[in-house]
Amino acid sequence: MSPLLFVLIAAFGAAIAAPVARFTGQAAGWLLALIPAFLFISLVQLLPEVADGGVVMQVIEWAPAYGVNLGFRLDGFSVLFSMLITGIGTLVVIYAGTYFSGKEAKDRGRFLAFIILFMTAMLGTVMADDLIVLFVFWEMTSLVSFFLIGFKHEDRAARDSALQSLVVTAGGGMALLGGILLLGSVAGTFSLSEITAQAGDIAQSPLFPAIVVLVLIGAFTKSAQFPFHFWLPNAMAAPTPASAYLHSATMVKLGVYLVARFDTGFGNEPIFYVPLIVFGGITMLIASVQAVRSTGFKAVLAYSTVASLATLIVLVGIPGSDAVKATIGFLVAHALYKAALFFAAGGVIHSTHVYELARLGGLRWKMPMTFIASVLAAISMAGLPLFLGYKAKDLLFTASFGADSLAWWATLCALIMSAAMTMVGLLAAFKPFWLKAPYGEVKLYHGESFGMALPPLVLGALGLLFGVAPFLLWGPVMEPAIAALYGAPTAPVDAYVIPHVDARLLLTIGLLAAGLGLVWLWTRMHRDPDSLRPRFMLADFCYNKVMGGVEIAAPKLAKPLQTGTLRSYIGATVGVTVVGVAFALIGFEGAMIEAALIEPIRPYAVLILIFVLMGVAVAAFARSVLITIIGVGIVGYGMALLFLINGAPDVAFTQFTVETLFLVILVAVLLRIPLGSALHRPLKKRPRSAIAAIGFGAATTLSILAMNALNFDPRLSEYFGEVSYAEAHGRNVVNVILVDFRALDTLGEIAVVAFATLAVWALLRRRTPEKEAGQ
Amino acid sequence: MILLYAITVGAVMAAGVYMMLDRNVFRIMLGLALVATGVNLIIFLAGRLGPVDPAIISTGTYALMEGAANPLPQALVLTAIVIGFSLTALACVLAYEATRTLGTLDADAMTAARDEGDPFGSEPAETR
Repeated sequence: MSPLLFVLIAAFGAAIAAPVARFTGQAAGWLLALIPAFLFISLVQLLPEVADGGVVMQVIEWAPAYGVNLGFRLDGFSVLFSMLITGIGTLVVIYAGTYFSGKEAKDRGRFLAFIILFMTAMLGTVMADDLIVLFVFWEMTSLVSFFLIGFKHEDRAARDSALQSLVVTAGGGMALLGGILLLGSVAGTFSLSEITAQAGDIAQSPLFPAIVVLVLIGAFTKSAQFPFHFWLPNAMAAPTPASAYLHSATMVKLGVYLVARFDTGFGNEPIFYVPLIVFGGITMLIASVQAVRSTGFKAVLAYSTVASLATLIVLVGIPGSDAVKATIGFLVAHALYKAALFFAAGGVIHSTHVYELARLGGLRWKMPMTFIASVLAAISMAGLPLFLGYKAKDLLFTASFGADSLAWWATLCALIMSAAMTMVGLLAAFKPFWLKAPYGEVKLYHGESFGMALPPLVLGALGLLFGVAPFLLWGPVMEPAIAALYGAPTAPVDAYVIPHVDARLLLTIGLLAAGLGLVWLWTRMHRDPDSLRPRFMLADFCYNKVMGGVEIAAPKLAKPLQTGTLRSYIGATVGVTVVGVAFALIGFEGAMIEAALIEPIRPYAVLILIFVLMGVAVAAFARSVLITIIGVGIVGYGMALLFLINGAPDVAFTQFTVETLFLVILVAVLLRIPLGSALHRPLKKRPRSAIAAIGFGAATTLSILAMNALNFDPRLSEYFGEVSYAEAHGRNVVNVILVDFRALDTLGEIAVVAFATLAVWALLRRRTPEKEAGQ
Repeated sequence: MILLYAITVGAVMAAGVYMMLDRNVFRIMLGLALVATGVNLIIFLAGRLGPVDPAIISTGTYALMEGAANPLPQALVLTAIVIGFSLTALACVLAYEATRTLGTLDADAMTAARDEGDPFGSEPAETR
């Protein structure tokens, strides 16, 4: 199956989700899960093709003029990611069908459609080879995430969180687009594989630091890395199936995916990998502390997700094949146990309507399947032997110990993060189920349902299965991904999950002890009901300050600009025009003066020009509006005379006619209202108007002289002169142009006149209030 | 010669802008008419001055002779004159209606839209 087909099938699933949900009721989740399941099986069948560095390419021309192609590329890493997307996607769809079983079919359909649409976007992102295509799908995931976080749109907090995530991730997307465009201009292609191939040259470009900064902003916003980490915990306002899928297992890993892809080519450039290790480490520390401080069930899990994403970012940053192995191992292990824990949390919250982890307890016999699933996932998360998580942690420490630079920093962060993760795992598994509820027994609204207990059980069990039977996972799935990411074959991973009796065992025991200590600390900290109130978050506070500042600054900026006074708008337009023209004309004076003096002076014309100037003076300085009208009329008739003596009798007669008509209309209208010398202000009182007017007049004069100095291109005029009689059988060339060559324009002109007439008529026939009163 | 034309058009435009910056709506409208007239002459000048014979193919010939004026700007100006006329006529009637309805000639005093309220003022009540 070609990559594009995967995306199309997923898109088809999104399109049919809502109607299917409406007609099939409770079975909708199970039925719709067939689509991701089918895609997952197709991916499994693709595995042999990508083993040993195989690649499936598909390129369809999209916009060849811009070098943008609908390019897709499937290698080991893409297939692994796609399997996570479709595999967890299958479970999410089943889970969501049950999660929304009590809700209206409309809501269920909407949610399932969004989930499958999201899956489409994710598949597109990880299968794209062309960076523009990748960006389009990348932004699509941000948008769908916005809709899912704001799914409970009646809730203000959900709306605010949705907007926050959109501002952060789509804002980062803009930076990413900038980076991609720069990269494209340096590399001459948008193809990721071609860019990777010439990475060494690109890294020499002076633009490379800018590219790195922009791409990293895109990746850090998406994967919630410091200083953009704050949006992810707020995104927990989304329904839990979305949290499990988007904000833990897949979408937030796109940032990791992106930097991992770039790492294949640029992994040895310090400017690229040092920020990854530094910022990832900072995020690990912040998220570990926040995980201990948080009390919400989903919030604790969300901070542990931020910490895990940070771990992946650091692992991508560390050069060498060990780090690549750890990246892949941790990626898969995390996706399995974290999605399971989210599923379990959602099940508990759904049954008890309690959102605070601190309030929960004693549910082990009431929700046994969820309990077992949580324990399985938690052990993997805590990194205990026999589980996949153990191997992931083992690889993580191998990589951080062995880092060439910043090894101490990476190891320190990894230690603290691992202790916090152990705590989160143990808390999530035992606090709601085993420990006593501190605020009285938790009321159960309904027992666990199969559709919501099965998905976490499956994922939890997979964590154990892949631990004890590593050959199922590592050989066929992980090794091709590692090879694709590293760019070269590596020694196979020793996937053994029974610890030797050595320093590693000591580390495992130490981390478990630290985790238990943190659990004790956490339960002590949150025993008091006061500790359950929302906490101050610096990053959130800064975000709100910035957004609030925008809201305050916008009117402050808009009010002076939007005065509502016509004069200020005209003044601004005139000012900008004058300055622009002045700049354009700099350096043109010589040619202008030379060209202006060539032609001889014609006495007639001078007389008419003086006549026009008199009209101008009358119009500008008259006290009475009626006298001004006369001045404007003089200018109009003078213009007509100028046309007449320059070989344009048709224009002249039109001008005479129009000018006369205009005067008649004006006088007719103005006779109805008392004008007098109302509002007249002499020139002395209007210095700024005078300056603007003189500036504009001067700009006009100079522009005409500049225009005159340019070479004249007579081709069009000559063409009309030659073909007027030959083709249109008319001797008056001006008329022929108007009614034949440019007939459509003339039709438009007639339409304008007609509409203006209609508008004038409509306005003038309105009755005045007095007349109405009189009748 | 073009220098004198250019100065004249500049004066027409200056007077037009000066009038458009007035407070009396009718002066604003007349200023608009002046600017429209000035622009017509600019279009005409773009076709260059010089030949003064009308652009007409005389009997017995089949193409325009040397010495005939450039026909293209004339056609364009013809269109522009008529459109400009429509524009100023409509502006004139609008100014008249505004004056009659609002009882003032002063553009600054025509604040019906602003009196509706400040767009940045009180937000509509949030429905939760």
